[in-house]
Amino acid sequence: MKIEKILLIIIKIIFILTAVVLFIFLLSQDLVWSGKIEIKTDFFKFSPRISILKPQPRIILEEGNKVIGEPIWFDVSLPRDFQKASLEITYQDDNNYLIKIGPNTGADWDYKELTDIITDGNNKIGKLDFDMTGKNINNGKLRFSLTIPNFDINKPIYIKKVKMIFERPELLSEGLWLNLVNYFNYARSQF
Amino acid sequence: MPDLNFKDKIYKIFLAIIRDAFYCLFVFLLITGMIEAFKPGFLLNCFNLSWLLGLLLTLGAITVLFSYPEIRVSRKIKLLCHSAVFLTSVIMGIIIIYFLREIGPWNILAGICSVFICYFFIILSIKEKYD
Repeated sequence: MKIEKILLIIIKIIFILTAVVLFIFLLSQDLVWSGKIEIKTDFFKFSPRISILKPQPRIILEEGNKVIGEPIWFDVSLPRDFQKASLEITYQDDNNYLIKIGPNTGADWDYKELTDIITDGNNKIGKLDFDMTGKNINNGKLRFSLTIPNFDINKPIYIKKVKMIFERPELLSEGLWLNLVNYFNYARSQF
Repeated sequence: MPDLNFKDKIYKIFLAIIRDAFYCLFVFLLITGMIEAFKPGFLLNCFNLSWLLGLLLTLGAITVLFSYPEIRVSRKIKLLCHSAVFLTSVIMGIIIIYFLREIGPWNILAGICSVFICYFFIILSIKEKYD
């Protein structure tokens, strides 16, 4: 066999293997085999897993996500069912507002107050944990709302970053069959 | 004296690489696109559709332009430009990619169909003249 033919076959095999590896990668991401996904955004750039801050009239994007009204919210796209979620929000607030964040539960919101706040220069970092049972996920999207009860429109806050970690049992601990059953049940109920 | 035969071989290998890359990406997008239609986010939560479609169209265009050496490249470009369906498909693709922020299953299907139609008519328009 000529060397060119061998070379072409090797190249073909490399392409096919790359496509297979990419497919397995997509599968592992969607099935969350590691049991954990991390979603980060600064709300400036389009992100497939997390929406921009809404409603838009309450946010001035050009001034660094300046919040001029409340409540505001964002949607998170979840590839499958999760048990726990933790949220870390970085924001600038010179007025020491009491901020509440929570996912939608249908008719209501599972609001929690940001209490253990760390100061990092001008920014503040707050963390919250949520139980994901009974949350209202629609078409694979879960809405999180942020509310500031004593908000003054003349004293805005700035949302800098949001990092979320969603957790569920790993593939090995849950078992392949149960993992797939849960995945298909979620997909069937959502889409 | 330069080895013309060697040049030809390199050209053929280059063309084969581009063609294989195109077909691999095409099949990959077809399969993952179909899954995306039933399970939104499967492909698009990890990859940017505009990049993938852009890469696919670029590879497809290179494959077409470098294939059929009997037809001049200028003639191929002319044929491509004359194909109204080709242009419509490209415009449709651009609209889908750039103007729809919330990409859903129907947009994905429409995108895949536009690529299908686009590639089909490129091949058809060139093959017709060639045959």
